[in-house]
Parts: sequence; C-alpha cells; structure tokens
Amino acid sequence: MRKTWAIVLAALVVGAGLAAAAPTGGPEAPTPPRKRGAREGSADCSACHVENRWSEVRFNHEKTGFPLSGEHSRVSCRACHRQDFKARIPDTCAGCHRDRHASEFGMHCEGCHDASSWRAVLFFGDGHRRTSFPLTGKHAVIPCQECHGNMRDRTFQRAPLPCVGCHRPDFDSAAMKSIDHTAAGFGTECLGCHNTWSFFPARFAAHDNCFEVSRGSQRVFRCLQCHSSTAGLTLTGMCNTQTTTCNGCHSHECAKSDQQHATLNVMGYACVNQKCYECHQTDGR
Amino acid sequence: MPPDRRALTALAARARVLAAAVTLALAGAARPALAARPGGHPRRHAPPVARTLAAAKSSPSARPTFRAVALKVPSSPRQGRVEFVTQKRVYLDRGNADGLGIRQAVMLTRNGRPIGRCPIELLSDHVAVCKSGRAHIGDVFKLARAATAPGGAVAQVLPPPAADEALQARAEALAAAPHEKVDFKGPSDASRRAGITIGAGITTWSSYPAANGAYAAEELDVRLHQLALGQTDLRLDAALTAVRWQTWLTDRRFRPNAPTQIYLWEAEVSRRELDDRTVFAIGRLWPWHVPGVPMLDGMQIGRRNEQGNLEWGAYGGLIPQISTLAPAFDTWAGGLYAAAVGEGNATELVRTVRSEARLGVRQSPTIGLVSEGEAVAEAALRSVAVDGGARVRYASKVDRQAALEQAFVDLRLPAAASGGGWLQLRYLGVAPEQQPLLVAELPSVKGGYHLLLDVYSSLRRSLRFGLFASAHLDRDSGQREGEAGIDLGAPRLFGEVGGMSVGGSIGQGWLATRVAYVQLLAHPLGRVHVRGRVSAMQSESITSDPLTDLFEVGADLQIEAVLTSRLRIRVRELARWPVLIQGQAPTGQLPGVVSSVDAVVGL
Repeated sequence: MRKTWAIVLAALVVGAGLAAAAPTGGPEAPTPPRKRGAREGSADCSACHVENRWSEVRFNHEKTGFPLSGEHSRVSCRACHRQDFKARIPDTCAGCHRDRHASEFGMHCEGCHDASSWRAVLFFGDGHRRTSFPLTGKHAVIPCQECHGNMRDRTFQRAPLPCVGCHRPDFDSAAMKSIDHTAAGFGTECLGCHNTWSFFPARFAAHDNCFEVSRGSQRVFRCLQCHSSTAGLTLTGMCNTQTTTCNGCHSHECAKSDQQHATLNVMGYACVNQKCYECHQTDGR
Repeated sequence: MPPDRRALTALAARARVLAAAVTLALAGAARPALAARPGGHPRRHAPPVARTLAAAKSSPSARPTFRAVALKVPSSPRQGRVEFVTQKRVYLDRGNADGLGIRQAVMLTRNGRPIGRCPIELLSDHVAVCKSGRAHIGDVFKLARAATAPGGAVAQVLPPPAADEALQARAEALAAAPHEKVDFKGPSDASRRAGITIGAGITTWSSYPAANGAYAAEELDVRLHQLALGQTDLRLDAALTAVRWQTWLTDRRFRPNAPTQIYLWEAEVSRRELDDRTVFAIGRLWPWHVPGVPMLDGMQIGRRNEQGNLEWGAYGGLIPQISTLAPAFDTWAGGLYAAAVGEGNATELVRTVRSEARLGVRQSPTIGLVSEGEAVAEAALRSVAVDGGARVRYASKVDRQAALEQAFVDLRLPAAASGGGWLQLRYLGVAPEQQPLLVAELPSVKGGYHLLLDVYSSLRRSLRFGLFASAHLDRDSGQREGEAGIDLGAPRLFGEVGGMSVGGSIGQGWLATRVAYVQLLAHPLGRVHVRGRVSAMQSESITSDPLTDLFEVGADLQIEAVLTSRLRIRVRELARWPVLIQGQAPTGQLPGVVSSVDAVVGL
C-alpha cells in the first residue's frame, strides 16, 4: 500500500516537474495566422472569402492553434469573435460555454466532452478511475443515474463512497431474501464478504473455521440451503448455530452411514449434523 | 520603333515563349511532391514555374506575352493540385476550362496513393471547390483531358497593350465615373446560428442474468437553438430529454421511479445579440455569466458597456426540483452578477483575462435563507493559463460564520503539438442543504479534496508520452484514493488513418487496482471515427484477506459516422468480463455489456 502511494506521489511530483519544464512552443507548435488572413479592415477580401459567395470563408483556423473541429466548424465566426478578429479570446471551453456542473469540476470540459456534441461523453468505466471511486464489476456497466441522480446541476459530488450509501435497500432486503445482516452481526462493510460483480456468492472467511465454504461446490450455496433458519443467529463461524442440515444437500441414511463409518472404525462418529462437518470440512473429504 | 525592328522583337519574344513553354512542361512533369512540415502543413516552395516566369519576366519586351503564358499554361497539363483546404472543403487549381464539371468527383492522390474522392461543389473557369475532409495541400488529381496549351501547343499571343496615354485616359474615365458602393448584406449572425437538433438513441445495460432482467432505455433529445421570434431580435432556446425505461431492476435506487421521464433543461426567450446593450432572458433559463446557478425558472436582465467586454445585471427565479426538474415554489434564488473580459497583446504577460462573479441569496425549504458569493476567473499568460474559482456562503441556521463551500485552482499549459499539461486542485466542501437523492443515501457532511494532473510531451512527431495522476481525500469516510499511470502513444502508427497507445496505472483506495490497456484511435474513412480500448484490470479489496478479488477484462468500442453535415450516427459497445472473482473462476456469471445506438439530426 505504501509502495502504491509512493508511486502516486512520485507521479504527481514528476508530472508537475514535467509540466513546468514542458516546452510550450517549438517547431511543431501551431503558428499564428498569416498576416494576410488576419488583416482586418483590409480591402483584400480574397484573403478570407472566395468568389462564389461571401459566406464561404476559407480562413484556415488551424493556424491559430485552435482547430475548428466538430460542432465548432458549424458556428458563425461572430459566435466566438464577438468584437473583431484582432481581439484575443479565451481558448478554453468556459470562454464561450456555460458550466452546467456549477463549477464542480472547474473549467476542464475536455476531460469528459469532445467537440462533436455535449452528449458525446468520453467518461465511461475506465475514466471513472480518476475519481475517488474506481468502477469495477457491475458498477461499470450500469446507468450513471443509478448513483448520480442530480438532474438540476448535473453535479456528481453527492454520490456516496460507502457501499450502503447506495446499497442500503439491498442490505435491508437481505433479511427477507437470505439472512438478516443486522441480526447476524454483519456490519455494513460489504466488501468483507461481497464483490462488485454480485452479492452472491459471498465470501465468509470466518465460516471456514467451522466448515469451508470459500472453495468447492459449497461456494455457491446460499445460507438457507444448509441452515434451516438464520433467525436470531449471531454468525461467528464457531459451529454454534445448531441449525445446519447436511441432508439439505447430501442424502443420508443413518443405517447405511453407520455401517460405512463402522467399517472404517471412525472414532466419535454419530449420525447427527454437527458430527458430519466436524470431520467433513469440504466436499469430498 | 522601326517596323523591321518591331518584327525582330516579336520574333524573339515568340522564341522565348516556346522555350518557356518547353521548360514549363518539363518542370511540371518533374515537380517533386511538396515536403510536409512536421506540423502537418506543407511548406510552400517556389515552384519551378514561378522561378521560370520570374526569370523570363526580366525581359521587358516579353512581359505581355509571358503574362498570357502565366495565366494559361498550367504547371502540369494532365493533373491538378490542391491549393488550400479547410475543415470540409478543398480548393483545386483547375476549373471548368480544364474539363472539370459540377458534381464530378475527382480522385485525390498523395504520393501516388489514392486518398479518396472529392465531389466538386463549386466551379469556375480555373478553380473549383470540392468537399472532402481528408485532403492536404499538395495532393493531386488527374484530369480527364489535358489542359490547354501544353508543350506542343503555342500559347496565344495577345496584342500589344494600348499606348500608355490611352490606358491613362481609360483609368481616369473609370475613376471619374459615378458609382455607388454596394455593401454586402448577408444573413444575420443569429439566423446562421439558429437550428434544431434532434437526437434519438437506445441503450441497453445487460449486466444481469437475463432471467432477472436488465436495463433498457430509449432516449430522445430535442434542442432548439437561437430560433428567431418573428422579425424581432428575440430568440428562443429550448432543450428537453425524454427517457423511456423499457426495463429496469425491480429495486430502483434512484428517483423518480417512473418508466417515462421528461427533463426540460431549458426554455427561454432571450435578447442577447452582439450589438444589444441591454440583454435579458425569461423562462427556464440557464443564465449567462452567473457561476454556480445553472437553472432557474425566472429572469435575467443585464447591461453591457459600449465595448461589449463588461456586463452586469440581476437574476432571479425559482429553482426546479433536483431529481425531476419539476417547478418548485419553495426554493428560489436571486442576486446580482457581473462579467468582464480583458485582453492584452502578444508582448504583454497577460494575454486574456475573463472573470464572472455573483452575489445572491437562496431560499431553501430546509435551512432558510442562504447568502452566497461566487467568482470564477481565468487568465491566459504567455505560456500558461490559470483558472480559479470559489463559492462562499452563509446560512444563519447552520453556519456561525461564512464558510467556503467549494474552490478550485487549475494550472494549464496550453495544448500544443509538442506537449501540454494540466494540474487541478479542487476542494468540495459541505453544501448546507443536504438533499440525498438515492434511497437511504448518506449525506455528505465533511466534503473532500481532489488533486489531478495530466501532462504529455511529444518525444517525436510519431511518439507521445503522457503521465497522469490523481489523489482524493473523502473526509466523510476518511478514504484516501490515489492513482498514477503512464501512456505511451504512437498517434500516427497507421499514417493518416490513426494510431495506438498503450498504458497502465496503479491505484490505491477502497480497492487496490492495477490496469493495463491498449487503445486505438482511427478515422479510416474520413467521416468515420473509431475509438477502441481493451483493458485488463485487477482489483483487490483492502478490507478483507489478501486474495485477488477481481480480475476483469474490459473492451470499449465507439464508432461515430458523420454521414452528412446534418446526420451523425454513433454506436457504442462496452463490455466487462470477470475472469476471476475472489480468486476463483466465476460460476454462471455473465459479462456486463452496455450497448447504445444513437443518431443526431441537425435541421
């Protein structure tokens, strides 16, 4: 963990140094427009216009360092050059566009949007890693509105980081579907057992102390497939629930089982549930 | 001049014409392709034709004849050349007299390789304009028939000019003739900007086993932009989105819980032309120059100075509901605003400065009256740009004193071919009015800090190196999140078609992550843009035992085709496959796939 943070810190420092030292011009930098094209007020109309129609302008905007791509190529010149062509105008998005995000992200629109349309959002699953919440598992393939519901300001800051911020209904409804997490003493730190692809199968490391469920075919069993009831249980994995039924999965006939264990001379054998998993920790053993 | 002397002079001139014509033909055939500058713009060499003509023009007696040659003899009789290009159009040095026709598509070639057809839209005798987005200056095309006056043909010899006295008399007569200046009156600026945009699309999120359903939504966007109302200078702007959720999960976590939703983003009538000193807007507006107030059901009115670089005024109205955008009557905002733009010149330290500020009050149904002040500003200096902004508020019910609600500072190196960078520090504090939108969402009570950095440098024209990093601190959960990565790109790996990049990152936070990716950016047909990305991701939970929690493979493909100037179609596929879940191969877990198709029509 410290190593990762050291790399992040080093990247920030080195990046800041590179940014400070990065060349800002050079032979490949866009050059300013030719004087011929920028001479406003000149009678040399052909510097910008063509013979067929006035509205057809052949000014090469790439030479200004701000290529007109996407929708920018469709707007009129005066939409941006509000005074004249000599006056410098901001080359940032915010210089012409209003901020729908209420200043939440600053003026760096191009991090998520491109010039083709505001709808063309470049910010998808991988891009979300640059926030405080990397999208893994199904988080990356669900609608944004599942977490970000602010339609008015289109701000995203309120999406909560803790799992229960969004999954409280799942936490609560688990009592009806599988197990009452609150009564069982499970906290709201969901990642201790669950992953971001699905709530089930879940990992319950403490359970392995009594009966391993992290591997083998038991991994896909639900609680109530083995436990007759989970009501009122405090699940610590100490084999004290007294509600386990091996017969839920394994077909047992005590007479047959008695004979098999007698043949092997198994000490302490008894044909009761708890005795089964005291010895049979995992499937097939 | 005696007649015999005049005849000899004319004969000598004809001989020079023939010599020049032969030289021109040879020079045109042997003319090398124009070398491209590193920046992508061809360097303009003086062509052999120009040098020949310049040399020939040194003979005063032959000047009239050589003018005719310069106009009529092409540099290469069987091919034309691209003289200029814009975003969409290509200007050719051949026209109707050279055999081109309107709507004829010429095949442009570069270094002998075809790069695409270019249909001619405008045509005159000696020049033409065709439509293509891939041409470069210096590209050539073949003519169906040779241009006039190639090597074997004799250029037409024009008669000698009239005497200087006669020319002078004609010029004086023309200058003395009365004529009225004709001003150009084109369409108004507003009408050229006006338009209607309609976008329609469908998206499915099949991230769940089919038996349990998935998300599927149809979406329709309509935007009216700067439509003139009659003969007035009033304009109508409107934007809405209608969403129909065909299927969704049973337990919806977000509101509103309705299958059909309509969001009205904007519906305003405004007067904001460039020459208007008094500007206003009324309706559901998105006020200009009022930072932090994105949507109001109300009015904005302002006044500009004569130069148009300073505006001040007032705004006020009801704030719509946060999740449905339905009108609300218990929440309103009002205040004053001001905005200014200043400019320097190339020799000054500050090139441009832009700032916006507001002072206002807001009525909240939960915390009463809130006083707010907010300002944003950006300054472009010689080689860097600095942005910043902050919002301060005071709500007597919850604050003892004025509190900083949010602030940011950006430092940018303007994007250039050689490199660029961006550094941002952002503080998002606690909004006094907590409005949890999700079911049982926990409100933020402490806020957080964010630091982001991007920097890239072009090591060579064909090789680009990038570094990015971010760090976040969420004060509510105490969670720290950090990520750092590198990107190595070859933007011209496939020549003009596009390039690829590879990169990777590591992160630490509520998950420990490792990511590696390969990305493709291409525009193979000029009008088609393709972006593809394949990534492998490993995530480990830091709250449980150190098993590899997740190993996933992701793919993202986006294809956008600009079919016409008014129609654009975009297809997008995003997929994630779990390879390992909690260290083991998943059982019965389907990949998550997001598919979307949408079309945008501009009228």
